[in-house]
Amino acid sequence: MTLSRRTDLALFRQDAEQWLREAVPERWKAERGALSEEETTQIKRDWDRQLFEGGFAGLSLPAEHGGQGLGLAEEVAFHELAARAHAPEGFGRIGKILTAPTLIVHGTEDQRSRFLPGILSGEHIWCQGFSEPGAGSDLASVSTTARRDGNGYRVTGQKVWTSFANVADRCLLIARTNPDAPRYRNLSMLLLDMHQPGVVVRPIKQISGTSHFAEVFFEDVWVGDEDRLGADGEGWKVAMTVLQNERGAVEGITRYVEMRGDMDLLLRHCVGTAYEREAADMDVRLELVRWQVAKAVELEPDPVAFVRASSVLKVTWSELWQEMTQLGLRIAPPEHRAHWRHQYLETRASSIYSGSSEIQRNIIAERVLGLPK
Amino acid sequence: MTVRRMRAGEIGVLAAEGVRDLLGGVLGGTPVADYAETDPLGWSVLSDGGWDELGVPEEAGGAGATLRDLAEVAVAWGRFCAPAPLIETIAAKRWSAAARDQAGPVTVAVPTAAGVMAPYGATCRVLSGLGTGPDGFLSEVAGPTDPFALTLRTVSVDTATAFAGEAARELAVLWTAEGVGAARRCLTDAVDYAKGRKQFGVPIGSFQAIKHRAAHALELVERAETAVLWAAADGYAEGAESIDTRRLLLHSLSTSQEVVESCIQIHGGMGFTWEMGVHVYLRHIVTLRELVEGLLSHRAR
Repeated sequence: MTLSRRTDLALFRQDAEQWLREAVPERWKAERGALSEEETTQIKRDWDRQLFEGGFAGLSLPAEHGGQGLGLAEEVAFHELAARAHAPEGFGRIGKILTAPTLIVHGTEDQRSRFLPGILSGEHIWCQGFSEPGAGSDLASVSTTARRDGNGYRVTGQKVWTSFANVADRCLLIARTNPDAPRYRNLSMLLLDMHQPGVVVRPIKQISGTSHFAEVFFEDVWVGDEDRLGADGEGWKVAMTVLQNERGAVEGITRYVEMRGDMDLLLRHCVGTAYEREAADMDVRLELVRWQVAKAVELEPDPVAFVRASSVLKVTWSELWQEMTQLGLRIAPPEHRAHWRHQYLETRASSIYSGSSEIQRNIIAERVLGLPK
Repeated sequence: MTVRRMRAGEIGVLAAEGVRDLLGGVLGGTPVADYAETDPLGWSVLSDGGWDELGVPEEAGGAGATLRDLAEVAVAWGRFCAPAPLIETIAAKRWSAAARDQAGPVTVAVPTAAGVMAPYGATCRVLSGLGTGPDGFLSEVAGPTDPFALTLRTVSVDTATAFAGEAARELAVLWTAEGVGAARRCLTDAVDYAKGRKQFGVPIGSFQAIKHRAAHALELVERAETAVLWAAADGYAEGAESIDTRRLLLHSLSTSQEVVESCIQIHGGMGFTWEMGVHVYLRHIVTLRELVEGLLSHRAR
């Protein structure tokens, strides 16, 4: 990689733009909606490897752990450019955004050397085993259990809303290891090998008809002590590190680019109609999402300000997108009807996943505004 | 995304801190309703500290503050809704040599939908032009002061100031930033009220209905602030941006207004009393919006 990447954001963007122009597969650019599932999977797998070979994997991870040692600004810029270039989304997101930073904080030397290289190279795909049917917003009440067995655990239970479960090699899984310990001290974080008997993955069909998530069933699945992240009973602490990485600027800018496409279409539909003003107002709000991301990036070093910025960002883009698709559904000309019907149904989920609007507003009210619990 | 900093420079950060200290010293802890209809700040308090000269350009002997720096100051100033023509005078002295020769406060006359309005017109000299070349002052033919605008004290006048486009744009940005400061302060007050006010034996701020209203108001403040900071950013280029200044600023002010409306609701029965003073912020922002809309609709050149 060139030296300029480390010194100047504008040059970094130039490099990234050029790389993306050549790297995004032509088949994907032209026909991504019409490819077979097999070919789609292959392109996505290859994409993770391409990112690594191009020097764009782990942009904001420290260099001593195999990352590029750059900042959030570069990470955000790259995701924006990749979305604009219609780059595929690989399967590496959970590994790179959630597992890797958490391994760096809580992992052992052995765990880092076993897992980080595979995450960055795209060889190993991770999924996240947090939510359960009985534990959504209230994550600490998970009931999947990891029973002590020799030098490890046997995991039994069910996880849900698990992205990439059908292709994952490992699962970053939170489970109850100490049933008698008090709340928040009874959990452990495990790095579970998905290629074992007793692991069953079933895709979940969503209201739009697509399937981005799966449910995963575990029955007596083995995890050795060497694959526990953090101490036994400290899973909640580790989970907090994971969740801090989950929200924020990278997701915000990626959504912005997708929403921009919808907004341009919406503005065209609304020209000369009674909805023109309404759409124009949404357009201002959408462009402000982009600037809210820039604000969040600048506020990163200040933890309270960053929580504020990223929670505000999440509710702002997700609810705006829903309003956009409502209007699109109402006024779409026949040739775009299918698109808006799909987007309308698809975006119902956006104010629920990654921390629902209600949870985000609790966070804002209690942690930012200091209102009583 | 253009690579552009959202943060103010050192001048802006330090000056905003100074304004907060100054106003905090004089007005801190005093409810806005207690001073909205008085004159709590003598002009000398502002001019002795050189606060009115913050925006004077380098070539005229100033410190070289950017619009972004001044916006930082305007947000800090707006928090207090102090009834004094600081922002108007800062803009005047930035763009007019005649204003720089004046020791006292200077204002402008803006053509609005309701006629030509000069904020603080009864106590300031009114410029005939801003950024339009050699300029002087309008002869004083002042009409009645609008009783609605408690803390902006707009006066109906016969003739409007002639504005250069960029001068009008800058003043509009600063007024909008003042509105964001007022909205943010109003939310802080409402949150404090919700922590202290008890019903059913608990602070009303522990109810999720109040929490979510307050959280949503913060989302709105952040959006209003982002809009004005974008318009104030170094290198903002009218015509080359996806949203023009007028839309950004009017969106910001409408959003700030929505914040104050929500804060009245949080204050419950006290919210619509004169003495609680939440209406002072509302009147301030509504009037700023009229001025900004006028400034950007009718601006010359």
